[in-house]
Amino acid sequence: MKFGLMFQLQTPKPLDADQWGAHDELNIYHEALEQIEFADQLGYDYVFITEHHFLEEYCHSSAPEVFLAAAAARTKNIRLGHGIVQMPPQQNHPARVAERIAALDLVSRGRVEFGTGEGATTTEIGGFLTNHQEKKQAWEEATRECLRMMTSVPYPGYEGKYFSMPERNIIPKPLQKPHPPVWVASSRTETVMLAARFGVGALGVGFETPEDTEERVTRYWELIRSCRHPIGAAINPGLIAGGNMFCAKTDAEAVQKGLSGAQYFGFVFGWMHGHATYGRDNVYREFRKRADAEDTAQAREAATALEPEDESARVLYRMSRRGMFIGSPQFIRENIRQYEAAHLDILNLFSQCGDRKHEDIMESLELFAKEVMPEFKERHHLQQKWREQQLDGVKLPVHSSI
Amino acid sequence: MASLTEIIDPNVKTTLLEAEQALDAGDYLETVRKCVEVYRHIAAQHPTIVRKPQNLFAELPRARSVREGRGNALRPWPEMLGVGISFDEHDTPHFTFEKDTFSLSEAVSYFEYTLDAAIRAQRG
Repeated sequence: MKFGLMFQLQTPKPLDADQWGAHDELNIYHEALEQIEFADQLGYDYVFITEHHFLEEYCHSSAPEVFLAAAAARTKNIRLGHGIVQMPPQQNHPARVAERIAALDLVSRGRVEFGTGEGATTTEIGGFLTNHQEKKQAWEEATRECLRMMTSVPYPGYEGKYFSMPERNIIPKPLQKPHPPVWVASSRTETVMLAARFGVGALGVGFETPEDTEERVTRYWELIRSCRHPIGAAINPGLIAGGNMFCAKTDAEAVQKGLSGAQYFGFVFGWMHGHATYGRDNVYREFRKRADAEDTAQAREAATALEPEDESARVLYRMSRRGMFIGSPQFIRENIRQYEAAHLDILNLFSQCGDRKHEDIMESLELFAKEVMPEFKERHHLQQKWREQQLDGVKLPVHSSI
Repeated sequence: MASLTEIIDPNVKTTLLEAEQALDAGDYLETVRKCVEVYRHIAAQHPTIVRKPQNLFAELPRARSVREGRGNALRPWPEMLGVGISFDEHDTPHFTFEKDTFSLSEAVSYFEYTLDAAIRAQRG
């Protein structure tokens, strides 16, 4: 199994002010870059960063290509992933995406992972006047053409439903051929299977359990083997699951230093789906009012293993729990073994979130790297062999970093 | 996760096979029509499989799937992709096609959702 870090650049507002301080966003950006540089040195395999727009406090990463370029300059080996680029053309024109992906691939000397997606909340896609009901179609059209732009000399032009353009040669071309490995954000099960039918990796963002993963892996690989509609010029078979991680010497210390960040993550995510008044909320203050209340703590204790049946509500629920990766190295290792047994390829971990302190995150990253990762890295060759068996007989070209 | 080979009900299996054939032939509207047909059939036979669209902030229902040891949770019909769903006083679902062309990705999403629902209905 390989390991990635997922960043949102969460920036809670101060409790005692209505807006961020002069350097709050500056600090988050530079601390995250320092965490990534350290992660590269420690042997983490990937860093992914999201793209969201107008989601105050939840995610201040609205120009991930800029951030990843800065990360490229400070790192040597870690793969640099978009988790994801919002592909509907009203959010990002496909030619501009092709240009930026290629430029990043050159700057990083071939370390880009091209994660794609539709965008989700009304706040952000509505901000660009993208029709919510058409965003999947728009994703499909834009992603297919974007990949053609990376491989065609010249690109012949296109008359589509969501964008059109005349013949041009889109330059530069990416270093990785035919193009960087492609992913699609997949929180819902049917999107994981869609990823397989299109020959792309499923970038899970739904805090999937090992049981979820095992069920998805079987069908995913069955569909990859019979892939008839590859969206790009090479397939990238792979599954990623996401989780919130904080590693400390003891479970108690991990919970004490890391749980609040995870709870805030879930809280602000829920806020983004319902209550937002732009420029005027202080979500962190609302979170702390509820989190600090004694009756909330009691209710939280009472609500233990019951999860919502609805998949979307379940993601929300899981985001704010302790989950499987907040704890001691032993606790985390035991849980990751379940994912390994299910043949998960990459575990992507949120580490920077909420009010977690930078120095605590750095310690957590180091402890995780030194006391959790090694056994899984040692056994990764077994996963690679298993993958080769799954791909036996597949005629489509494969380009994957796993 | 679901596979067509697991389907026991011959009507469901045949219709889903037809849906997949339509997918491969590029007739995505037909794929979606077949999926609606299957889901309607499943809903009539196994009403508990049907989940109405959820409000994320509603009170959390008890997780029967967890209690009963099943894996993935149930999900509502993905009406955002172009086929709306409403329920009458008997909780029977009714479908509205809000468009007459579907993309491959939308058709695939409906197909995989319906296949998964069919397997869950079968497992009980």
